[in-house]
Amino acid sequence: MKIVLRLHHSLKGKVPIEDGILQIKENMTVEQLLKQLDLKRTTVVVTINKKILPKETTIEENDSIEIYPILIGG
Amino acid sequence: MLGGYFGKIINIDLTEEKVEIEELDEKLLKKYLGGSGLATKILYDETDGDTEPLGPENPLIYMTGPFTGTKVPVSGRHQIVAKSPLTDIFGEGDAGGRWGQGLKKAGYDGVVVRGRASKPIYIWIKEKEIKILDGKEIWGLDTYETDRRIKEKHGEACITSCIGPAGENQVLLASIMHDGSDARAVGRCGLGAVMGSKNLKAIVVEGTVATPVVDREALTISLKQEVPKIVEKTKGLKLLGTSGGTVMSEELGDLPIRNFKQGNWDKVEGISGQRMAETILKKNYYCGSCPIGCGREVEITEGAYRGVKGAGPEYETIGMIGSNCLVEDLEAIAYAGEMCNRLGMDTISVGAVIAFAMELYEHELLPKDSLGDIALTWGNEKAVIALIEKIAHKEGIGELLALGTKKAAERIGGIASEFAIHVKGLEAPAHDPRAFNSLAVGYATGNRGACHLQGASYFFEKTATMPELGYTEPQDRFATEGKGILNYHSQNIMGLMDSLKLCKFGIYGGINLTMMLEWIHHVIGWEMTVEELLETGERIFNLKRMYNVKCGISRKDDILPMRLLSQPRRDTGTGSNLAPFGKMLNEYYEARGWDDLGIPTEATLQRLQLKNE
Repeated sequence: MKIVLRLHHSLKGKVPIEDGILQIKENMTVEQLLKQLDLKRTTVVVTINKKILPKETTIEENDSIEIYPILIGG
Repeated sequence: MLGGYFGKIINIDLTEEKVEIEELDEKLLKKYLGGSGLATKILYDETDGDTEPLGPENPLIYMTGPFTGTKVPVSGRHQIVAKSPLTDIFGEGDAGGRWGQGLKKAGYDGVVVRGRASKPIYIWIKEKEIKILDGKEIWGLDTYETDRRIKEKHGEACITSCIGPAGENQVLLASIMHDGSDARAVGRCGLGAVMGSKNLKAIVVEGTVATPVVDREALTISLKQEVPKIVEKTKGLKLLGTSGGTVMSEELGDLPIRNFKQGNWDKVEGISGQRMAETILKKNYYCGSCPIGCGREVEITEGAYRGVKGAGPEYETIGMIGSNCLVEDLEAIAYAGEMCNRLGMDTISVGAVIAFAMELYEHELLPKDSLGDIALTWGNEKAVIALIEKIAHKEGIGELLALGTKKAAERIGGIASEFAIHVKGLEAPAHDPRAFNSLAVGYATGNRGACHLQGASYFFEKTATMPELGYTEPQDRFATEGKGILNYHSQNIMGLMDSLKLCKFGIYGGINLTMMLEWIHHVIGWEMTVEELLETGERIFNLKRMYNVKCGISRKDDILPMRLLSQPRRDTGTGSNLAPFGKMLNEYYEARGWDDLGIPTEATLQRLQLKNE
């Protein structure tokens, strides 16, 4: 199934794909997607259709996924 | 015309009940910029080692910067400076929110409060109208309620800086709070106790005056170009807030766990910013002129901690009251954080002093009759909550813990100081020098004590860059070489940001020295070079150091607690790493132009035009 993926600029080049339409397996979770993209879960924040959902959330067809790096501080 | 400043500060003598407006000259402003720098100059001139921090002779100095009140991003901030009653040396804190902008809207750059009122009062500033008003009806109220009552009386447009019961009781961990339940804190150094010692409950500001900007058009063009980039680069902070990095901090060996004793902790996910976003988060909070929005607004509507509503816990609160005390319930941490906000106490020092007490309890070193029926075991959230109340009111064991870890350990004696994790009396915050080598020197030499923000060098060991200084890539966090010099640079830069009034998260957004210079030019009208700007930051840092030298500080005090210096975390993030402290400290002293005792040399003072200060 296809999803829409947007990566933060600092992650571009670190993952093996570009922004845009991405084909993934059905019933894939956020955690599994990150593994596929070779991104460490604790270093990024993922939004699904602009919402932050648990890592176990199953991604659905046409979902819009955005991935940003987490910043340490405060 | 000079932009950015009004060139006016309000001097208020509470003993004499006198209000005077003082004009500031441009030479002074250029030398110290504003905020932290200018306030330090006032403190340096008026007080010294003999000044009693809780005496009427200690001035409480509120100072904005030239960017406060403008549209420069992340500039809605102000500084508060006084001699610290917690550490008995230089003390300061910086807050976001809207109070600083409120003071600028009233038409002033700063307020200096001296003396002591004979009864509880508050100060009301609305442009030309400056009054000392009876504070009887708000004395004793918590900070949220104080803000509400003041708004009820003076209208919704006013903005309040106030203390809670902890400040009134002169608890040495007392904060000064702003913006009601948005709870923006000047937390560190016990400055709330200084305010309480003056019988000063609040300073309320209101106005409609615009901060002058020399070239508004050029500033607008610059901001149109830079702000979208800042927003994009800091999206992680917007989405998860400062606590977004909690799990990563644990992985890196940065998160304090069990009073900085434990390495890893498998409960960390439950107290993370991610968990907050999935559960109690309602929306973001933005300080004035901030496009980032890292603040959290939370609400708990059911369960044991229902009723929490307003500012959510920051990373520091989660690290210090959460993992450092092994409290694993995020809602309990949010509740404890709100208690601290309402009572007016620093969540960092409160978390540290409770973890300290828990370790003493574990070793049966606390006076047996001091706890009543509280079982001060690790992770006991009920005990944490009970202790917060006791500290604020100095009841039972709270009277001892209200002194902070250093003074409490001295009073207990024996080996108690083993468990007091502080530098110069200020409790270490929720970042570990065993995870970021540069922090060892930063904590040891921070002018207010152990502080991650006076240098924020760890930013440059993880993500951030500062191209003008050659830091084009993040540095290796375990390297030793160059870390003394990194602290020299980063402390100078952070002092600049504290003086211009810029949030340090702006660095993550890409704000650099070139941008600061451009905005100085557009806002104030000054042409400065990178070298001049850096020298100003260096001057400000050294003036604070010279103040501390007057208070007896030297190399002997530039040291870390033995736990951080000599005991590895033995975790997955840091293994057996210990910062090679002496080597980095020597490199730092050399870069600073200080002698072997850690005192700025004559040549350094001459170079920085501090010789006759």
